[in-house]
Amino acid sequence: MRLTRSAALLLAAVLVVFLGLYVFPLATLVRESFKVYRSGRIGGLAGTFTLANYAELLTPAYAGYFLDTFRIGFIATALGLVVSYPIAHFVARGRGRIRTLWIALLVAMLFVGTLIRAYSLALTFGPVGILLPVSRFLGVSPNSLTITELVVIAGLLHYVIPLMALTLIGTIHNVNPALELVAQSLGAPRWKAFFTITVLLSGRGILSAFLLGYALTISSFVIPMVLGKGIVLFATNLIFNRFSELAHYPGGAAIAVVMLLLSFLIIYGIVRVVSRRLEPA
Amino acid sequence: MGPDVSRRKFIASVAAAGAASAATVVLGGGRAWAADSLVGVTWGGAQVEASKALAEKFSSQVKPTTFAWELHQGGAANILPKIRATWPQVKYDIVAAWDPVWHGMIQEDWLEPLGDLPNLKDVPERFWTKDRQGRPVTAPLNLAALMWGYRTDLVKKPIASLKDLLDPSLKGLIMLNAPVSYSALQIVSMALEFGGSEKNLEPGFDFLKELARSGNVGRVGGGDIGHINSTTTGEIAVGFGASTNWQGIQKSAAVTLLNRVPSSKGLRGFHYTEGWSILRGPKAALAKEYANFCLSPANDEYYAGAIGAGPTNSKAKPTPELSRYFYQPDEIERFAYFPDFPVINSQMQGIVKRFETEIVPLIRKA
Repeated sequence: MRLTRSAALLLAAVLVVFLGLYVFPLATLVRESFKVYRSGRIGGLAGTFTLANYAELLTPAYAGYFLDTFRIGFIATALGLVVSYPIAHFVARGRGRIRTLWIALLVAMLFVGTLIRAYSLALTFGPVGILLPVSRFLGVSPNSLTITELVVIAGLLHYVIPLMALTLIGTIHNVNPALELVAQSLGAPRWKAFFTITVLLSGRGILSAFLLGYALTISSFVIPMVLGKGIVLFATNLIFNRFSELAHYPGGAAIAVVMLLLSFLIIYGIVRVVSRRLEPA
Repeated sequence: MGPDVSRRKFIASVAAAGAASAATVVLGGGRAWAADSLVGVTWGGAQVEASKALAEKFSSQVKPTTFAWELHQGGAANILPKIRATWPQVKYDIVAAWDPVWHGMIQEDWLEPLGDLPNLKDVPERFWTKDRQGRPVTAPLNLAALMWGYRTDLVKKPIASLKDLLDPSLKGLIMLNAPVSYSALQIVSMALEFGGSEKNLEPGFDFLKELARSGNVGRVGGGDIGHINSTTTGEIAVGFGASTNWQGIQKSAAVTLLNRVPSSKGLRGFHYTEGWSILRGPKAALAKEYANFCLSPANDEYYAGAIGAGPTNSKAKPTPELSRYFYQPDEIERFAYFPDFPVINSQMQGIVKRFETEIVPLIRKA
């Protein structure tokens, strides 16, 4: 198919925007990560080159922060999938007004800002909320690491469930419900028909929802900042501290680049493993 | 039949409009271009309200001027990357900041010298911040202090030294500041307590590790709002914060301040100044007039009183209710500490790295 002149012009415009707003800033970030930084200055020193910003990250402590980001993000995404699939199934199989109402509710939740949701959780699980008497009853400090991680996960769930559910609705809707009935008529129990037919056939949608959720959780910044009490720190919080509070652009850029590479490797690995399993034999 | 518009003409007109808009943004610059107008950045709450009130007075008594205000997002240091990103085409004319932030601005050579402000001569020279040429480059409006303190009702045993923070009865009740908050002065206070200083923070880090291992740290960071909220709600009981924070907390709970502890080298009032800095640019002259106006005895007294701090103008009277936060002249030598911010600033990167790699992991394990 030949590209017409006007199509080429439009594509060129899109390419310019993509290069200007995505590729060029990314390239600037990578370049910044190799600059020398002097304490007290703002940003890296022009014309310098160093690997020190990356070498600094080769410590168990920073490995721990990256691990925490991916671990907590994974837990929140997996739990989010478990919660959002039934919601999506209920909406997808629903009809008329109920279906419309639920979709509107899920979309409306997205309009509530992340900061508002984070602070509502901070109030609910903070010292004036339900957490203090519950944690006292259980004999656990509300400021303990376990409780703090749980609250961060709750915050991430709040964030990803609506999006993951909306992603899954279309996928589940495309799985013919008659197939489950056929399986049951051939003797399969209802639960088995559900998992081996509906869930399996919506596998690619589940993978998409998981990847979307995982990308959102590991890149979340506000939720660990508000709910993490400075003890649960994501890589994004380290990046923010360096860029915004320390003006240590090279250090923040190095963490961002490492995060980008690790995210790419992990997500690529997940896609490869799951896609192989979903391919027909 | 409508106008004859081809796809080629449409694309060409969109491109032309886009180019014109881009040229306006690039060439038009960021500064307020109205004849008498200023763009100021300051903190929210009492600071911006007091600044607005003085701006109105300035406009009616000195020179009609339109003021546009922007608020600091988080700490004042967050303004530095914004200024750097567009320097010298910066939209701000006058920026409220404090000592460590000013030193960053001096390094970048952004500030207008203010030695010719008539009212500055009434401000003790010790409160001036000077550039590399020895010229004053700030108009300090108020004196504030950082100090340790605790909720009297939540702490069973009175605290008389920093070592008392290790007491098991304080499990989960102590708030540590992130190092960039308050320019790592909490760590400086620990260093002073155990024989160190701004130049030798090792005793401070040694104690900080002990404190992190003890399990007594309940929260890290949160800034002024985090300190006020966490202490007021009882999430934490012991912290290190600004005098304005403790005033807010005191409205809801009884507080014991640790800024007059004769036996302790670290439990002191760490003083700093806040005020105006003028960015070099076309509006510097007008901004200097406003800064000088704010520095007059009456206006400085008003501003400091409005935000709950001490005035810097020697002819201005401090609010009597603030006497527990600030010192009488005979107390200054015994209890006040004036930190060496340039020394701290030069180490900040290392301090943050040590905090992230050595202290936070210990808090998590405790």
